[in-house]
Amino acid sequence: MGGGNEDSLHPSTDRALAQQVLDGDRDAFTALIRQYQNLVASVAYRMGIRRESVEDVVSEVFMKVYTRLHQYDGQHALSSWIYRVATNHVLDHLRARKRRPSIALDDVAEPADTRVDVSQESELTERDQLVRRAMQELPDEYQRVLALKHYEELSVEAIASTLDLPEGTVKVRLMRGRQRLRKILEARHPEYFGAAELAGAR
Amino acid sequence: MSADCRPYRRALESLAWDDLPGGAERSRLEAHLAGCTACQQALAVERSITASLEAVGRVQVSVSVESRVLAALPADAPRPARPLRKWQIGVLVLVAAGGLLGAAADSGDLALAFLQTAVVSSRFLPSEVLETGRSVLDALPAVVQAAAVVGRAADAVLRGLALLIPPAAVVLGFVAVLAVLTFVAVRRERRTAPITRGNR
Repeated sequence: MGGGNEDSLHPSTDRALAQQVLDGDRDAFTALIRQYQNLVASVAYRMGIRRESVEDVVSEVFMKVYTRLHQYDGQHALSSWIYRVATNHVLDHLRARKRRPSIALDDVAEPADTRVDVSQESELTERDQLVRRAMQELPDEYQRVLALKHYEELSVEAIASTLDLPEGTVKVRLMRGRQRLRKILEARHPEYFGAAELAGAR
Repeated sequence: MSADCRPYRRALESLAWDDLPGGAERSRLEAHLAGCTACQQALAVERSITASLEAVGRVQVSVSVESRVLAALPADAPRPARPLRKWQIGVLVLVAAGGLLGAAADSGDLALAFLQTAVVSSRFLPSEVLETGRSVLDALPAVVQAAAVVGRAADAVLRGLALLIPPAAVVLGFVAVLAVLTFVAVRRERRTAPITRGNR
């Protein structure tokens, strides 16, 4: 998962790190942030957090990680658990922004001195950005599975484990999510995604 | 896409999302695709969506928020609490009660059984509780002797009481005291909430 895959091989290290933080070791928490902040930032950006807001969102995620770490069970990789905290927070954030469009002003207010470094963003075509934005219109449950499959490149089995869902549910959501995504894109941007419509009646 | 194409729709999506293993279904779809422009175009659209998602997935973002997050934690941060769960409190109360009962009945076997239960259940308990438990175990011999003395005294008192109150009432009273203790412990657990967010 975004450079975090190897962590799942060391669940005991994850547990030890979590325990150190729970015991009040600030250096351990610093190490934890360093290890996972780019994973969280990448997840946030891909799911639709604006570049200027990425640092805020990542900081908020780690505050949540700190206060909720006692809920980490040590069974899954810490990266999966943090991923889950991060996606929940990002989805909440996006929902709040949708409800209150004025909040976008906050985003604009932040000057360009942001230390967020986005690599390969320039390689995103307009079409890619449209797909990224269309993903945000999907219901949360579809966004989650599609993000894990295509952004994090996880197998159905790994997605099921990360989200604590049966594999059958994951498969159904992947399929329905894909169909909804295509319909949104066809309707909004037929110039890019309308070939099926143009090709003939259904 | 005509009505003839419908049976292929799902397989076509799977193919575009790289989920269609080789086999009879895939062979049938490929045979259909060879002669159907509409499905070829639909496949191209599906594939372009997959490609876009993968491109978004390749974007890596680097940030450095550790100093900011640490500064947002309260200076003398009460460390993230690992609150006792209700069942853990229940186990503690039961074990303590059992130990007392054993001592009161002056029964070494019963006391031992409960101590063993305590050792087994300690695997699930947080470290602070374990440390307390360990110091208790260190002081065990003295505690057992003292408990036996207390037990004999309690026994005498109970025998005296038993003449006045029916034994069932004694048991009920004991259970009521346990219930009150558990209730108080659970209330205290709720009050020790984890730290609040400090970065807003």
